[in-house]
Amino acid sequence: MGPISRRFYISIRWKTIVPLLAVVVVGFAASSYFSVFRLGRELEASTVATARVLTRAWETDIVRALEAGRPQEIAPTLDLKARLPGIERLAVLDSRGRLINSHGRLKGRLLPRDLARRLEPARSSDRVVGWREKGPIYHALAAVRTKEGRVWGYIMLDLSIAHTEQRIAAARRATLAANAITIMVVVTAAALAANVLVHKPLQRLRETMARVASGDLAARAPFTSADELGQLEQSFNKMIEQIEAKNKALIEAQERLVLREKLASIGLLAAGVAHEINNPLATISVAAERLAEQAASPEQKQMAERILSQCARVTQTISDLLSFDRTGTFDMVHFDPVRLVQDAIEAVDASSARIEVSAPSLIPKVRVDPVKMRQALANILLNAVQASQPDGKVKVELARIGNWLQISVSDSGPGIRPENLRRIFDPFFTTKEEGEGRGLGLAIAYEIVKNHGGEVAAISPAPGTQSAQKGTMMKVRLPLEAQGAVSGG
Amino acid sequence: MPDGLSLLIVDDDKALLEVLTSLLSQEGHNVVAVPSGYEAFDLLGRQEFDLVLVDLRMRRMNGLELLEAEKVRHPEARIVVMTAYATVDAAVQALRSGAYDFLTKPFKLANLRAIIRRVEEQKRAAAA
Repeated sequence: MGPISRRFYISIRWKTIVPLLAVVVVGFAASSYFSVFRLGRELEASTVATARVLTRAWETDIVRALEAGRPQEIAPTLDLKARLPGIERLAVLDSRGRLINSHGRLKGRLLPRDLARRLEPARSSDRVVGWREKGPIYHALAAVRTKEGRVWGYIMLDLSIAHTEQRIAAARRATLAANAITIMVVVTAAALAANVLVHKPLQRLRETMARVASGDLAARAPFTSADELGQLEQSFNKMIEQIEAKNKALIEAQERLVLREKLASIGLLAAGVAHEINNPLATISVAAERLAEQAASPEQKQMAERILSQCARVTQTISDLLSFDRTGTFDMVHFDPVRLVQDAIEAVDASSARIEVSAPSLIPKVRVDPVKMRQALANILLNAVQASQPDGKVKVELARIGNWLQISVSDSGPGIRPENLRRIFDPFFTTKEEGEGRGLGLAIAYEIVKNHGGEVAAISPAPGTQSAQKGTMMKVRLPLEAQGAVSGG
Repeated sequence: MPDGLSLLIVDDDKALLEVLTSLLSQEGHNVVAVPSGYEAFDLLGRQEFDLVLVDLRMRRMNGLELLEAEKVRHPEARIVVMTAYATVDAAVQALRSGAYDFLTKPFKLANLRAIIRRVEEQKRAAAA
């Protein structure tokens, strides 16, 4: 696991949703603000208009009563009007702003503190002056003028705007609620979409990558859709397939290399100890042979001969191990491969199996050290013969494949178990009974063929065999020279 | 056997020297054993042998050096080279240098006796 996966990071899901959320929230907040603000402005404008109309109307009433010389009618008229809903107070002030009359629900209250400041603007123009102090009340002030234009006094109307404010608050709440719901719906939908379309596929891909990183090259990303992520999964899978193939090739190459190294070191060791073993063996065998000749009894003779046979066994082992010594030279000659195979068959005691050889009529000669290659083929043949049933057949087939001469040896034996297949060229690996085989034959064959620039491979079950007997096919490939001599088969 | 051969055995493996000396003496041969190429070369300058058995690998003067030096001095000398590590190369080189024969350790007595018999026959033929 790399450092990236352990570090804190922000999921792509949040990276999508949070900016979206911010934009939506800001957008809706702005739109709500402006709509509520506009509503407030509209309501205020309508309040002002109402105040203006009512103030003017009642100013007219006052002027009319004054002109008719019945100022006493002013108070009852205004008292009646002040009962209209929404009117909190209706006050009449004299020309210096002192309260003459007050009607309505708030008639006992103090006059607004700002009033004095408003008298002059109302006096100097025909406008209705309106303002708000604290509380849900709108004050409207207008001068009452006589016909001559003299300012008789003022009329002040206090309108309740509690209702308006309630409407604004309600509108604000409604907008907020609607916006909140919309935001939630939008964000949830975006989150779900991001989850299903991006996060989940990415997570699957990431899990697959983690499995691959931990060494499971068989892991594949599930191919879910044809979109960009699907393409990513596909290319990831393709990449892993290539890595797997290359990795397999690399492992095989490495195994071959390790095997060759192993064989070379055995050869080196054998060359080193050959003297140390063969010299004492020479003394032992000569002495044992002498003892056998001069034995006083058959038992003694038998004992001496047993020493001799064991000496021979050690000698053979050393001799086999020396096959891995690469300091020896090769006597390379152009040689008829069919003769090579026949020589090898002669070297093998083939009484227990019938060896069939098939070769094309024209087959090129191959450059080999005939002695060594004969030994390699004999070892392979011996293995095939031993694996085959008593009456089983061993087939040897020669063929030219491109620039290679292929000698395939197929037996009718039980086949090689997969776990053993890759070890059969390992020195000292054997499935035979203890004492029956030292596990060197195929390793020697491998070494010899490799030293000729060739290849050996074991295929089990052998291709084209019946189901009862799986069989094994050993394929030996030897390089042919570009203009190889052609001889009659 | 009244007319046994005079044999020189050269090997730094003392056990083999002892066994071969005892065995070949019992078979009626006149056996001298030395453990080094130098001593053998020195001895060969003073005394003639029907057959020399020499180990190929010895410290200081090895079998091949002895063979080549002795062949210069006595081209007719019969020298059999023994080796504990048989390679085709070594055999070819020994035979090219004029070795009488080549024995791979461990060898069978029959092989050694065959060589001795051959020398005896040659000697008899030469005497006749």
